[in-house]
Order: sequence, then C-alpha cells, then structure tokens
Amino acid sequence: MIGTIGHLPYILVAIMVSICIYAALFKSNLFKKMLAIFLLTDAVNLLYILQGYRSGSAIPPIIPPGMDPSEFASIAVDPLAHYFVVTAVVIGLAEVATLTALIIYTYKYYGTMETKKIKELRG
Amino acid sequence: MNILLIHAPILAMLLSLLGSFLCVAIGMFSGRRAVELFSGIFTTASMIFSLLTVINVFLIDGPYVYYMGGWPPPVGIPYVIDRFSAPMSLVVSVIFSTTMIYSMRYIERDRDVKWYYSLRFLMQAGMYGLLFSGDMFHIFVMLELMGLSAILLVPFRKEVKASVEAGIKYGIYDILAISIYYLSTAMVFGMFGSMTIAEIAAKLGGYESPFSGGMFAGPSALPVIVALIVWSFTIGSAIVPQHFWLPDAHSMAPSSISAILSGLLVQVNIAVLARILFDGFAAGSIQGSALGLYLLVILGTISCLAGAAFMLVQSDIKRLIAYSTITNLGFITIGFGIGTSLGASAAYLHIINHAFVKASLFMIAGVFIHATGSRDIRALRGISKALPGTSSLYTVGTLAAIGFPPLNMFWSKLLLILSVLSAGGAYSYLVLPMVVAIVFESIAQIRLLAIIYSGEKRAVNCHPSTSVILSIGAMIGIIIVTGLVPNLLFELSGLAAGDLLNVDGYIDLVLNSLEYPTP
Repeated sequence: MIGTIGHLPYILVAIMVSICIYAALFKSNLFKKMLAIFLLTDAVNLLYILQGYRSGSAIPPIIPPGMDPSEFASIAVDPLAHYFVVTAVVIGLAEVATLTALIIYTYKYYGTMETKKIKELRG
Repeated sequence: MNILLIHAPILAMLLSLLGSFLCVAIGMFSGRRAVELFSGIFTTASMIFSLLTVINVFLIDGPYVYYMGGWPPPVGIPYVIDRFSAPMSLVVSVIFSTTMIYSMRYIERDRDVKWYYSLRFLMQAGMYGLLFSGDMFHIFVMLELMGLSAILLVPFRKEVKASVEAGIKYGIYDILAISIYYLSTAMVFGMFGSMTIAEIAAKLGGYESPFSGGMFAGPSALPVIVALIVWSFTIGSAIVPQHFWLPDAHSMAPSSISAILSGLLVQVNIAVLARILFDGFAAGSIQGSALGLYLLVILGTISCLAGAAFMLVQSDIKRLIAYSTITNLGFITIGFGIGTSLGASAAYLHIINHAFVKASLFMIAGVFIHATGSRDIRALRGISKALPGTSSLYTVGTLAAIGFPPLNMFWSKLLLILSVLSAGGAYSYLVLPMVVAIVFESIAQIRLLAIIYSGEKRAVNCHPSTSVILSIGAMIGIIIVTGLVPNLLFELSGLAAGDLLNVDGYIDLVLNSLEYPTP
C-alpha cells in the first residue's frame, strides 16, 4: 500500500503524532494540552485515510458486475477506513465538549489555565 | 439453546444504555424519587441478566460468541461470552447495584441527580462492552463511553473547587490514553486489515482470511503496536509512572463513584489489556508480546512498592484507600505479566476480590466523611464509639484488604505469591517486593484502624441510614462468604485463566462458524 502513494504522508503522520504526544504531556497550558490531544486524534484519522487510499482511483466502493474482486480492491478506495474515521470524529466531538466544559470550570475557579498554578491537590 | 439466555449479556448492556437516556427523560418530568426507582429497576434487571449469563456459561451451554446484529466476524462485532468475561460482568453488575442502593441516600443533598444516574448507566454499559468485546475498534468506542462518563462523574460536585481540578487532570490523561490506543488500532488496521482480535491472532499464525487475506506487512511493527497498547492501558489503569491522576480522581469523586472507579474501572482496563495481549497478540509466543509482558512485570513491581510507600504518609482517608488500589493493581499486573496459567488465574481472582473489598472500603469512607465532615484521618478518632456498626464493617473490610485469613483477599494474595514462586527463573525474586508491599500496606491500614478505635466517643453530624448500611453489609457479606469457599474461587479463576490463555480455543470460538460464501 505504501508503494502507491509513497512514504511522505506517513512520515508527516509520524511527525504530527510525535509533536502532539509531546505537547499533551509537557505543555503546561490546559487548553494547549487539549488541542494537542485532538490533533493527535486527527493525525490518526489521517493515518486511517491514507491506508484506505488508492492513488488514481476513480470508482466508488461498489463492486461493478463482472469485475474481479481482487482487481476491484486494488483500484477502489477502502470505505472501511472512512467508517472508522467518521465514528472517531463523532466521538471526538464528545471529547471536545467534555474537556471544554471542565476547562471552563477550572478557569472559573482558579482564574488560570496553567497547570503549574492549579495546586489545590498535592501530587 | 434458550433464546433468552443467549441474549442475556446483550440485554444487560442494552438496558444500561437505554436506562441512561430514560433517566434524563424521567428526571425532566418528575422528581428524584422516580429517577431512583427507575434506575433501581434497570440496575437490578441488568444484574439478573448478568447472573443468567454466568449460569448459562458455567452450567448450561458453555462459552459462546454473540454476533452483534447477526453479522459474523470480521464483518461484524463478536461479543465473546466466555468464562473470563462472564464472571467479571456479574461483578460489575453487583457493584453497580449495591452502589445504586448506597447512592439513594448518599447523594440526596446534591442537585441534578438525573445526570448522575444517567452517567452511571453509561459507564456500566461501557464496562460490559469492554469485557465482552472481541473487536479492537469496538473496544476503542467502549473505552470512550466508560472514560467520558467517569470523567464527568468525578467532578459531579462541581461546586467543590478541588473536584474540578481532579476531573480535568483525569480527563486530560484518560483521553490522551484513549487517543494513543486509537493510534494503535490504526496501525493494527494497516498491518492486519482486520480489527477482530481472533483474526489478528489467527493471522499471526499464518491464517488467510476470506476477506482481507493474510498480514499486509511483516511482524516488525508488532513491538511498536504492543508498546502503544500497553502504554495506553497502563495510563488508564494507573500503573505507577502514570498513576498521578488516580489518587486525586478517586478521592475527590463522590464516594459512591469512587467505589466504582477504584473497584471496577481500573481493573476492567487491565482485563481488556490481558485479553488483547494474551488472545490477540498471543503473548509469549511472539517477540513483541513478550516485550509487553516484561513491561507489565517491571511496572507492576514498581507500582506495588510505590503505592504501598505512599500509603504510609497519607492523612486523607480516601487518598489512603486510593493508593492501596495502586498497590493491588501492581499485584494484578505482575500476575498477568509472568504469563503462566497460575499467574493469570491469581490475577483474575485478585481482580474480583479486590473489586468487592475496595468498593466496600470507599463506601464506608463516604459514611465516615459525612459523619465527621472531614476527610482527615485524625478526625476519625473515637468514631468507633459513635458508629460501632459501620466501624466493625470497616474493620472486616480492612482485614480483607490486608489479606487476613480466611477473608477473600488472603486467598488471592496467597495464589499470587505461589504463582510468582512457581514461575521460576528471575521471577521468583519478585516475591520480595511483593511481601514488602504487603507489609507496608498492612502497616498503613492497621494504623488507620488504630485511630478509628482510639480516643473518646466523638460527636457525629449524622448517622448512616438503613439502606446505606444494608448496601455496605451486602458487600461485606460477599467478602466473608467468598473467603469461606476458596476451592470454588480457585476453580473459577483457573477456568477463567484457561479461557484467557487458550488462544486456539479463542480463535476457534470466534471464527469457527463462518458459514458465508467467500467473495
């Protein structure tokens, strides 16, 4: 599969994932942490789409009558990857809502989004 | 096969999902009593269906696979109802039912209880899904269901400043863990072209699927996938380098939720990790998976030592119990990590015993906190004279937690130590850190008991109501009764570990009835 579109998009995904995990763990701003987590999800969505992609394919993922299945599989885009991504995007919405609500409350109580200044609980 | 028995586990889960929506609808039009009555009925019904599942799996039909919507794998989602998942689903149901009775009086001073019960139902449905699921992507969805509802329940008392802080801390790290798991599912999809755990295992053994063929790539990426999965689930189950959210979240949540988080949520994470590592990646036989098991043993050892050490310096009763959870999670991880059949059965038994013990301890801690108005353990001085019944229940729970014979956790700790000793090689030395952890934990717990029984009688704000005492008493009753039948426990956990470690049997169970034409 990699041969069809080259390595470059995969390397892009790897860089994106690394930056996002770094930011989610080491940035001290809660909002930046949240953005990093959602960008991580998006990077994985991109990885899914890349795996389902067939370069130069122009036919919808419905098998035409009389076509050989293996030939069809090599030129049609894999719809399964899209299904995963659509599910994950919907779930991501719930994540955004949850974390945003919590961050708003944190900001209301502490007046800051810096994790270093939020120290009601000892480690 | 009886049609009701086949559908029982799915009905338990669907009732929880349905209950979650109906709770909010009922709460909008009528009072809190109606919501409580409704939740009680639905939780009890779920428990009955789980009980039917266990009876079916152990006594009537044996393990089977439920095809969601009638679609067989790899197209549909298989629910594997075997002797590993069914008893744990019953434990989930029992603890949700007892905390349901407990919640009725425990959260009566809070507003918006309909959201509380609704989120509880969502978490319950997520746990059933995680335990039964045989599909990597479905596990991701169910992790989100369980995780998001837990994240929202931790700061349920949102007027308390610190609970919001605990909630955001838990939220960030749990969602990060789930996102990392999502990354690993993408890599699994690219490598195997299938999300069904049984198919992954079969393809590693050279199987050609009628839909997606064999593996798309060599096994070189396998260590990365296993490492990502282990990383994500060790955040979710608070194994030591990533444990920092657990004491905050478990101590700031309402006690009825702490009981569920500490008794079930983290253990369900470990059970799913064991399912994926042992069945999906056929642990031990493949280099990548063996790496995962070594990681589990190392992290588990650090975890049980660090958790026990932190217990000694706690002055907050719920934080003390939360650190005890970290210690016990370390034991469970070691049990799965050594990879033998005895180790897996010991870990499985410890999961079940620990669930009841820890849930009852948190429920009693909630009673103490209501009575004294403080979370500090020094405020508990003399409480045994004011609340003698609750204190004696707490004593039984604590004795079970430190492994006092013949209570239930004695047997699982004994089995764990025996399994480590019989694993051979360097693993035998693990007995040393485990004993040190057990001793530290005992010192911390007995110190707390001594404080409870010392001092003069103190004034209390309120006495626990009958329903609260009944729900706690039921849990303590389970602890005592299960401690009296160790043979039954050993047999049960042996069967569960057998189902977990028998990869060929698992593949057979999930894939054997593929009776559709190949494309």
